[in-house]
Amino acid sequence: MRRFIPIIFFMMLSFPLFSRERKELPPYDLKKHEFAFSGAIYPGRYAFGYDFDFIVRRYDTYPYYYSIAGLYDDASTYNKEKVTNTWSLSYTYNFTRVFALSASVSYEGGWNEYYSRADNSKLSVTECHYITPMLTARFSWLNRNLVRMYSSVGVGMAVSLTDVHYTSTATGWKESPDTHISLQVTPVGISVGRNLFGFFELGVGTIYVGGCFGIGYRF
Amino acid sequence: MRKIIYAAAAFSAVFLTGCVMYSDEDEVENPRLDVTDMIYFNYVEPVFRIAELADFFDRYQEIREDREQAEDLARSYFGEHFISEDLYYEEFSVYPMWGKILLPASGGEGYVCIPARTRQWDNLYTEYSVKVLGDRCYEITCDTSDDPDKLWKSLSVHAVVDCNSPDAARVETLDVVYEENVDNDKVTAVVTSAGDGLSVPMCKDGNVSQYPVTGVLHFEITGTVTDSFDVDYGSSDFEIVDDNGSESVDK
Repeated sequence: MRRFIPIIFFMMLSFPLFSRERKELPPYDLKKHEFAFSGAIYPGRYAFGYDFDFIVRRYDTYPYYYSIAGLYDDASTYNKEKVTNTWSLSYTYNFTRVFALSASVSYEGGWNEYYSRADNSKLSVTECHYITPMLTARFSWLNRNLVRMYSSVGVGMAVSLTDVHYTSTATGWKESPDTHISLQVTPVGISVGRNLFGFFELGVGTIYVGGCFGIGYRF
Repeated sequence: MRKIIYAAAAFSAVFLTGCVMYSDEDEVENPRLDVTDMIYFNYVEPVFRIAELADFFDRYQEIREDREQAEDLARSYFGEHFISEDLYYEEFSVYPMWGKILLPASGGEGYVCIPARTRQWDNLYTEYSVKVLGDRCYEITCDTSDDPDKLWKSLSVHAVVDCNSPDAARVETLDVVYEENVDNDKVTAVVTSAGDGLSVPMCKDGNVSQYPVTGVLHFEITGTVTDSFDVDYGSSDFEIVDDNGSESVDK
């Protein structure tokens, strides 16, 4: 072991001989404002399960689904779940090269449709639509003029356009849109471009699950 | 310009992958199998468990003074499920598969049996009457016309089961009449044993056979829904048979 010590010492001393001069990076061009439009394939509220507000077909009612008539009825239909994906518009203010705050509005919608197996005619449909305003804190941990990488966390409120919430008041039942807390965590996001940029994010939450990408403009 | 084209292509891809997220359009639905399961497990299989309970309890009455012999007999039927504290002269219960059997409160002949299986998730226990025909042969009947759920369904069962065979209980006759009325959708299902070949291995050391190993059950459904088919039981599967062919189902 002792004979290796001079060799290691020599190698450590020789490192500066082979190292290159560090290239000076151009100064970071901090743009304060960003607008972006993005789309995600797997909508978050759909991923965690829609709360369809009304019974879409008779089979789902008690005691019909325990009955022979209900079992034959169920077998005579099939359903399709459709979604719009998630679409978002956002404005971001970059306080520093590291920290930014975003305000965004997202939309997702979905339909649950039942069809007759006999003739493929549509028998019934129920749908959910959500608008979600969200405030997001973004932390950039790689800052180059062309490429930036970041993480973010957002919190907001999803407002249903289809489901209603009833509250008891002195004058009777009051109807208001159903609301849900919305959270979105993005461990990794990357944006490429200068003024006009494209971005891709990986995240999980009630806006989207999986990947999201979009385009934006900063100035 | 190229960036815009790439972005437009990406958004188009996202849009196109939306639309249908789930569909069971291509799934093969088999309401006959669903109905067979519903009727069989709720109304037919309890008859076999009752026959086992009755066969034990009837033999037990003859030896009940000899506790050790009685407990040995109980274990030969119910194995580890048997709890000696649940065995009385007038009453015996064994769970989770069988239920409770007791001497009638009125002091009449035969037994009263309440199977462990409740009726269709409603937690409604059904009371059956067991008449001893002799030579380990039992007549099992029930009529639920005064049940709390009579508003939408009723059940009538008449079965004669012979437990004298060393291997399996033989069903001499079985008639199950199940009626339901959901929002004026009236359906009657009549399930009968076709021929005399329906047999179910008797429970032994706590092991039960859920399904018959031979024989045929005939299903006749009338009312809002009309259907007719047979369920032909084999040792490892059963076949749902109608005039157009058969479909095999693993047990």
